[in-house]
Amino acid sequence: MRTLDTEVTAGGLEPSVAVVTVRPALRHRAWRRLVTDPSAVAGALILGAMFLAAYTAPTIAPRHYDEQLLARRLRPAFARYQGQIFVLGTDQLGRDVLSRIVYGAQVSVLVGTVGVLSGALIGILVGLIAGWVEGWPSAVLMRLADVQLAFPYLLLAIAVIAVLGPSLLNLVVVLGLRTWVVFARVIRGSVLATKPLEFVESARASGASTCYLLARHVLPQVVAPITVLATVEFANLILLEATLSFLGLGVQPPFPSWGMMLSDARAYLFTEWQLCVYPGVAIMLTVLGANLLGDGLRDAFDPRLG
Amino acid sequence: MLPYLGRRLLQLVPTLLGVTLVVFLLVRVSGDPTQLLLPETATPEDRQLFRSQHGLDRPIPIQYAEYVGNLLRGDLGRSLVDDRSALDVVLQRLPATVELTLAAIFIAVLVGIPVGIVSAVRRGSVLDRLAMLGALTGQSMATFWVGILLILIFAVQLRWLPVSGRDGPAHVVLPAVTLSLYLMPLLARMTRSSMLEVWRQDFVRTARAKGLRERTVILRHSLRAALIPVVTVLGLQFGGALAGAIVTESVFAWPGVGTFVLDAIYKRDYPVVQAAVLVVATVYILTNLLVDLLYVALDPRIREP
Repeated sequence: MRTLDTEVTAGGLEPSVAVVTVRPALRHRAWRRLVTDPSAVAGALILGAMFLAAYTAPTIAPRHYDEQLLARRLRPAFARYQGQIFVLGTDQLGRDVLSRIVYGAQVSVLVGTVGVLSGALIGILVGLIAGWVEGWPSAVLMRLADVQLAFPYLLLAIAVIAVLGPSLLNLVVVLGLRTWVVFARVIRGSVLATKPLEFVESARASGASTCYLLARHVLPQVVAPITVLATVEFANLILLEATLSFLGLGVQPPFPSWGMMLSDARAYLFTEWQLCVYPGVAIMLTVLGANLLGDGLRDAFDPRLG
Repeated sequence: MLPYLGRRLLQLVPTLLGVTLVVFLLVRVSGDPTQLLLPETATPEDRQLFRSQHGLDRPIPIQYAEYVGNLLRGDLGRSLVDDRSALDVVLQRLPATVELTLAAIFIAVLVGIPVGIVSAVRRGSVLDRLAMLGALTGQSMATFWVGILLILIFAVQLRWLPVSGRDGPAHVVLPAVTLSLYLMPLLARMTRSSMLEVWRQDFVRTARAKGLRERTVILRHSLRAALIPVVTVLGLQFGGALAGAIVTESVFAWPGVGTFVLDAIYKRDYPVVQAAVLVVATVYILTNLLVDLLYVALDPRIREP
């Protein structure tokens, strides 16, 4: 039995873009499929835990992220120092590794969330314009997207941050600019597919405004692909942020980010290898959580792809 | 095929122009370029001289036109550190990066595609689930972290392979495996879903109905059709792998464009950074074109617009 009424429209679309129409009743089924998918639930739980850690870091972190004490430097996991226990040990400046990982979640979650939200906002606007308004604005916007896709983005991000100087703001801006293209393409495709449909034509004929048409008839069509894209892009942005931080182009010390912690830990690879493990595991878990949820969402919206 | 090729080459022009514009603006957006292009100890007179010598006092559109003109003559400026041609020094480093990228792609194809096929054949089995969870986990690991872990295990603990440098075949193994782990999961997942898609099609059903052995159906009939999207993804990812090579190189001190660019960034050697970005972007764009042509050769239906 096909549980989801999917309608893949090809007319006037770029080959990679398929529009999946989801009716409200079927959206309910998609939701049920999602919450009964163990790996999607696991992904959501991991992500939830990371967001919670980021939000409550000042409360749940055992110590401040920059509390240094050289007398207790480079201790292994569960080390005790003056009656205090250090669950993941201490780093080269005697700072509590667990606390730094908990605070580091703030950078990843912030960059991922703001990057995806700003990218989605720009992308949706550009996609709506490029799809609805015919003629040169559409062509210019889409060529712009092509140029951006022509770059290996990591290289571009490295070059831009190197010129502008590393800071949290620059990081968020550069990473946010990455995502708009993907969103814009999907939205545009869906606008192009929806525009000639009869119910849109008749709504227009009966005097509906452009804004109403877009909000009422076009946007609901792209909820599914946008949700999936958002989770996948969230994962990509966290990996990018970690990479840039690893190269010293991200958040500046002493505030911890997982990439930077790994970069610092490299110097102690031969003696204190555990320092190279914890931040990497944190990155992996967060990204895995987003990827699991993204896969689950895609399966839930369109079971044929699994 | 020829009109298609012509159209594609024509489409290349605005893209490449856009790339040069971005690279050109990179240094300009930060304000006074002499701040970036001259050492911090330069006097105001030095800066003024530099500006008039390099035409930086002229309107931006004219500067850009000159920049493109220089590009067409192969002049990408000179390194601020040792005054060598920026293009030459980048091209000198390119083979090492391409070697690393190709080795990584080779490993990724060698492992990823068979894993994808087996996963598709045994769909739903424990093996399939493990392979796909493994692929998703691999996709979730930061490339540089994989590199660090591999060094930790194979160079520090087991002492089987060298930690860094480029000094013979043994040196390429760890960096190539590291970089391949970025592509492998993607290839495995893509091959699997593509195989499953192909099996729903009539020609496969016909092949089965003819009584062909399952092995022949899989390898002879389905694989070719299934590999078309895989080749596309591989081509699209070539650029990603090139960019990933930057990070991998820095972990393993591999003497390619990546370590070079990072070094140039720390030394504020912007002409070299610009040249490297331009060269890598061009290689990336040309690869994508090549992949598209390959795609058309594999699947003639695409030729018609």
